[in-house]
Amino acid sequence: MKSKDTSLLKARLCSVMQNRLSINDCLRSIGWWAILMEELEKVLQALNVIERYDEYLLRKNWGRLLIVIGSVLPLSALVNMNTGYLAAQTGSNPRLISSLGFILMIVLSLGFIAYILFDSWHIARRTPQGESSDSRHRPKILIVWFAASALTVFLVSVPLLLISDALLFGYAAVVPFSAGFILAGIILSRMASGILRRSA
Amino acid sequence: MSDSLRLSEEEKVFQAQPRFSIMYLLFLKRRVGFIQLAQLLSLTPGNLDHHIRRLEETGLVQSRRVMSWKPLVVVEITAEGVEAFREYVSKLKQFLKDLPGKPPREQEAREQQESDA
Repeated sequence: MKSKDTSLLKARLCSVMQNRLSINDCLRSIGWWAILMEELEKVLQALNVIERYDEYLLRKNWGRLLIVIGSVLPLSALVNMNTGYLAAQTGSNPRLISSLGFILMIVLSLGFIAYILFDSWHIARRTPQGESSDSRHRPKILIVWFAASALTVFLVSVPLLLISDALLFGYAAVVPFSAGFILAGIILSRMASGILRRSA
Repeated sequence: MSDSLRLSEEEKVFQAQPRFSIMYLLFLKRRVGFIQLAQLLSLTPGNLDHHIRRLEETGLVQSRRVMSWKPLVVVEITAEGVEAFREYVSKLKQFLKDLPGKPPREQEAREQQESDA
């Protein structure tokens, strides 16, 4: 019998000794409380599983968002950088190609960001405010964001100072940007999988 | 134990802890991947499969294969499963209402109020 149950048992026995409770009522009460404790234990363990699954979904979404940013924005930039070549290959107007690249970027980025925000809001709505099973959750996300941004800025800006060719300049800016964000997205996704395996 | 809650045969199936956690999670999320479920509950795929089969036999959940980036098995709660779990929650609620006696702290407070009066 657990300590909570023991204290309850003592309280009930005291009541019996003071003739406030019959022995039958006492035994019945103890039995019901034991059932309640067992049920509550099950519910608590299930809640822990649900909480971890919510955390997993949140991190997974953030990881996906980083990967999409790291893919869509550079893709659009690459399309814009190669409008002349693409227009010649497809036999269309370079301005049309450029506009398509821009529209592709806007639609995909905003669409995905809206989806992530909606999904995250949907998950967060179910969790109590100001509570998290993992207190390091926010700092971890901040660190990944900071590392992604700092790496991108550093990797992009320093070598760019040495480049005079415009096209090469563009590629040198786009590739590290894409790589930085995709890498950060993969790290966040891995962190999400780690949450699932964390024991209760 | 379950007799006191007057549980049906369906409800008795998810009284085991892993099956209860599966049902609770599915009740809230409606569908979860088999792999995620195994990792969340720290169960081997074989063990989880056993629990899922028990729930499937009772008609509470169903599992199916879906094509995503890779073939996945997802477990979904059925309409009967939702109804059974809702019924269980209402029984638990009723059980709490009918609970004889009060916790010691509440009883002490009540006695204090009585003596003050």
